[in-house]
Amino acid sequence: MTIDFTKLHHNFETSLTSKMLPTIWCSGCSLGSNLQSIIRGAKQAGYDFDHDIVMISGIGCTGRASGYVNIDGFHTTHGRALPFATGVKNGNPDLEVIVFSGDGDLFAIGGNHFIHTARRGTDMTVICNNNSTYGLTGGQASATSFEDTVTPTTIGKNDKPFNLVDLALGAGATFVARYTTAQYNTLPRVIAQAMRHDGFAFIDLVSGCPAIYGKRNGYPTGEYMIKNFKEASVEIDTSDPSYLLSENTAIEFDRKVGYTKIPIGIFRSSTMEGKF
Amino acid sequence: MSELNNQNEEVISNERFDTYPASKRKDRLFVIDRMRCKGCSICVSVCPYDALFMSKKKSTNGFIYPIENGACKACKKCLYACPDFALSIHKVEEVNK
Repeated sequence: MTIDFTKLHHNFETSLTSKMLPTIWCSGCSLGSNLQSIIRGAKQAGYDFDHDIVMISGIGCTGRASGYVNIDGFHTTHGRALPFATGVKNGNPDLEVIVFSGDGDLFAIGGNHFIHTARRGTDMTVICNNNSTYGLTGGQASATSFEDTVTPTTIGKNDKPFNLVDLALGAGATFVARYTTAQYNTLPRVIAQAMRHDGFAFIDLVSGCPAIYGKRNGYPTGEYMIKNFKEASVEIDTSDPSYLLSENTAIEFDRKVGYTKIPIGIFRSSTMEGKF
Repeated sequence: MSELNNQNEEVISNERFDTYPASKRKDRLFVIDRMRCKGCSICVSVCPYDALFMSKKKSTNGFIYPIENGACKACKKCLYACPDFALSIHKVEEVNK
């Protein structure tokens, strides 16, 4: 058997910018598989990558994602991914707008924009790569760093983190889901559902930063992190109305073993009328 | 265990790719791109058939990389889990010269 080595590109190579690869992300970082899940979700939803989609990301490790994927996009200023996305959607309402950004970008400096875009119900899909730290700048504490964890900017102990699902539900998002990076089969289906949703769709994509946050706080390698996500994920029971209470949607974390409980599933899915 | 950790002898390599025939009928090709792999070994942990183990040698980029031992069924679980776009599955007739 002779093999033509020029044809051995990756299965999603046409959706990637080959000259930019390999990525700058650390070994074990879950961003690459999250990006692959988004590509698979957009393919599943049936969008044409050249004409139908635009991908917008802010600053941070996650901000690099819009450069690695072969979709038109913006790499915007810090925290302002959502105002750019609102402008794009108003300029061309036929486009499907995906915002893929980190927790520091969307919820620390861009938190104000998030609650107001959710309140207005602008038709877009926001995917937050929630790795509980500012990875690019050296692992400072972010708005979703867990209590009793250690970062270079922690004095004493960290404060209580944001519960992103609770925040999105309270701000009025009409599609709210949380999954971890380890649900490789479910996640593309949920992303496709969020893209087809007419209104503000938010996915809290729990992913880890093993090289910077994890090595100080209980999940030192990517291999351990994936096992940890699979063990800690608990599917929510939507038949019981108490699943929306904030103590049932909160992520639990222990500094010695990593994640101990991650409630996953689709928390809200309804259509909004009269918006865009 | 030492028998399981032997590299599949049907490997065909060049300076960038390792290719292994996979699946029951050997009509799929499991490809490892050593230039992109960063040695995180997530593929080893997600493989349901224990078909992968990590090399002792390092690639030209300075990372260890996965090696297949002949048990691969081309289920694509590692392909979806790989964060570095380094693994792929092809049909043999599509890449044959």
